[in-house]
Amino acid sequence: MTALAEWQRMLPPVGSEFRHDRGELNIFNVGAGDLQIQITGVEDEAELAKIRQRIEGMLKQGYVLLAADKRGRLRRIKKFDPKKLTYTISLDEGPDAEVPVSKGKATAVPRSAGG
Amino acid sequence: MAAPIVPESTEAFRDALVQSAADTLPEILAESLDADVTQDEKPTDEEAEDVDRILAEVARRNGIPLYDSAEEAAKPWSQRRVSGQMHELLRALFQTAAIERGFMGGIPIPGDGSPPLVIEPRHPLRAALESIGANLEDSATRFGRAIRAGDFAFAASRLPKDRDYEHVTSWWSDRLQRLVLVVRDRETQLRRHVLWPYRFNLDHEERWLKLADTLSASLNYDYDAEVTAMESLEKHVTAHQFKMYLITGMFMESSPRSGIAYLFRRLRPTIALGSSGPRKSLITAEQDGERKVRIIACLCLHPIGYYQGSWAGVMVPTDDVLTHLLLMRGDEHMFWRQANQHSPRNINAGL
Repeated sequence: MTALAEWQRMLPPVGSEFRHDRGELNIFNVGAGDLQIQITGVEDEAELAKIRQRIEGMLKQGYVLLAADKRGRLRRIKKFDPKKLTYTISLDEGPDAEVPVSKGKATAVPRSAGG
Repeated sequence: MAAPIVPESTEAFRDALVQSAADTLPEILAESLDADVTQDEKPTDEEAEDVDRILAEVARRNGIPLYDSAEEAAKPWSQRRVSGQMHELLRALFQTAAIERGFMGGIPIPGDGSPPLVIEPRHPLRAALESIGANLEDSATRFGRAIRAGDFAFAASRLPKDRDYEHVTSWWSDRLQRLVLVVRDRETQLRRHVLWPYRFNLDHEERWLKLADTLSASLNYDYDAEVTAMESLEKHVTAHQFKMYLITGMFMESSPRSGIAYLFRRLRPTIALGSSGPRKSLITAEQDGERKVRIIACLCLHPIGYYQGSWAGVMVPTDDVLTHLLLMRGDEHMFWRQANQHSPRNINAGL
């Protein structure tokens, strides 16, 4: 087996890991490893307001937020609409797409210090 | 006044800490976190003593010692080291406070003996966090750390004091196997090249120090956080990749966009591999029957911060690996833009 075939075998099948119906936000955190916020099923207005505030706050602080597109490929979140509760992601081809927060799995990475 | 916390078990202790955090959180910390601008000033002695008084009150309420001995408490403020229990308590308090105020990435608190921190420029507590432990080192050690961390601006500031130089640019010369600094004389505006008298690839002591610093930084990692991060990584990679990671601490993945293959490593920069031919991706080269592989760069990137002079970030090692992987998949250009791109011959590349 060539090295290329070996690497391709190792690649995860596109979309297999991100196809889901539940909204989830994973945040890299210094102390906890990962913070997970479940978004689907949250109906309490106060809880939703807190989620909105946290997502807006992270974007303002320069965090990189990533979400999967329809094909399961990770894309950077460009905008967040707190009223509609949707992320806007840019695609390689065609116009930007909207992903509902309640159905998207997003990951937040804090600003980088280089290394 | 809040009731003292009685640590019946580790879990109960943590729960109690979280519940009581709002009561015992120092106001100074709260104000710092609420500030919109980066604070570049270090605390004055008076402010430091204020913090010390608050810490003493926090320790008293929780029934733990602030310092391990009377000798430690008698040292100047900047040299005192809090007890292990107090350190654990502070970490939990800072963590809770950070999340409550929307700093979801948390706040790193270096432990006793850890190298000083380098924090991302916009972090509200940057100056305070970077000052922890920095004043315990002599200038020669700090200088060595700056060089190893690639902090050339700091290194330039340590040039002979008879002239006032400012840093212009710097780079690593493969041919000379040295750092080349360009500095400008502030008075005459004349530029000057400086060849740094280090030959990294021959200096085994430099490599050993970097390893030792990485080891001492690892004392700050939380076991549960690393396990959580590894569980998260497992969801993002194939079983084969995860097995490789568990056994060797590294795994490989190619970018379908650029054709570059990446070797992600625990506690080391990610290695970006391309073909030896010009303008040819690794995949194309492989299809053409060419097997030559070259290292394009070693990409070093840590969210929030890292321990100076080491390969350790403030996040647990697997979170750093996961960050590299997700940024590569989600925004490869940004990954390259934000990462420090080390030459494979540079000590910082970890090869």
